[in-house]
Amino acid sequence: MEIRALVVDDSGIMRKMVMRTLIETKLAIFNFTEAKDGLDALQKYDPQAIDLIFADWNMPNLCGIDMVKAIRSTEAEGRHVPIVMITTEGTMGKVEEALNDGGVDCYIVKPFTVDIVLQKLEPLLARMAEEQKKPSGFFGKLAAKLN
Amino acid sequence: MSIEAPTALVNSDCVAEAFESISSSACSMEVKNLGQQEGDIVSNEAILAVISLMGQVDWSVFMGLSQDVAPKMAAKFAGFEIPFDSPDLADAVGELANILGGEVKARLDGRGVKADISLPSVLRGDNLKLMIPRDTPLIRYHFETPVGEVIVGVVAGRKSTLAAG
Repeated sequence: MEIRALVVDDSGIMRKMVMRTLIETKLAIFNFTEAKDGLDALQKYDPQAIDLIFADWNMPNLCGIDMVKAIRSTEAEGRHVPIVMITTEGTMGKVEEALNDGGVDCYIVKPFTVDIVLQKLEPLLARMAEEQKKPSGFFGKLAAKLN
Repeated sequence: MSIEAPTALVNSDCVAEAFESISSSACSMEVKNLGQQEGDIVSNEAILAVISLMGQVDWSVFMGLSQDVAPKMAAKFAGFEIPFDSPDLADAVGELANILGGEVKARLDGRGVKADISLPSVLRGDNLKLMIPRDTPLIRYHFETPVGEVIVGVVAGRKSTLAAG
């Protein structure tokens, strides 16, 4: 599966580490777009060109959770770009805020290992692959369009 | 040497515990806490990262690395070499401070103390000296690590004194 991923973090080093770890999982062939904060991410995000988003929480200009809420508020009906939060915010309150109210699909606490990322992402990517097969699903329609 | 923590720095042992934890998880390093130290913190060419915790505590948590130690620790964290003069070094050290802050926050949360973390600040220079107002509560730990000595500490703001009193 090929995945066009948007990686959002104010640390260039952390963006490199996220991308390297994702490649090492071998879960998909990733094509990356980078953004340095939530505002940069909103400017670079194109629902037609991005399949998956990885975002930090604490960033200048626009934090991750507010970026996620902005994306969700403008999504067309039936569309849902999966968003994974990768952050140092590890308290239960923050995790619940992101997953229950924030529109985040998956949560990874820094620091992470390849095994942790694999464990967290495998179910999400499996769902994406299934969705891609459905002609009526978002990814199915996208695949049909590309073919 | 054990020094009794001022009231504003109750729970500051979280900071030492957090550093031990992230050294292992983020840098694959086992470290040894040499205990609390007093006196001025002065270092030749060095990097100092600071991150704040605000809420039921008003803390500035800092991590000091010498010119020799900083690139080695950054390489352990990032998985690739980062020269001392590279802007990426401040980025890597800042991210380590971010992870340290998150770990301190989580440990405080486990003790029922709520706080939010700031974005980290990183300073680099010659003859860095940590100067704080007189009578400001401060605890400083020295750690022995496989890459050299690291200083980790916490300074408490006035709000912490009020909150603890």
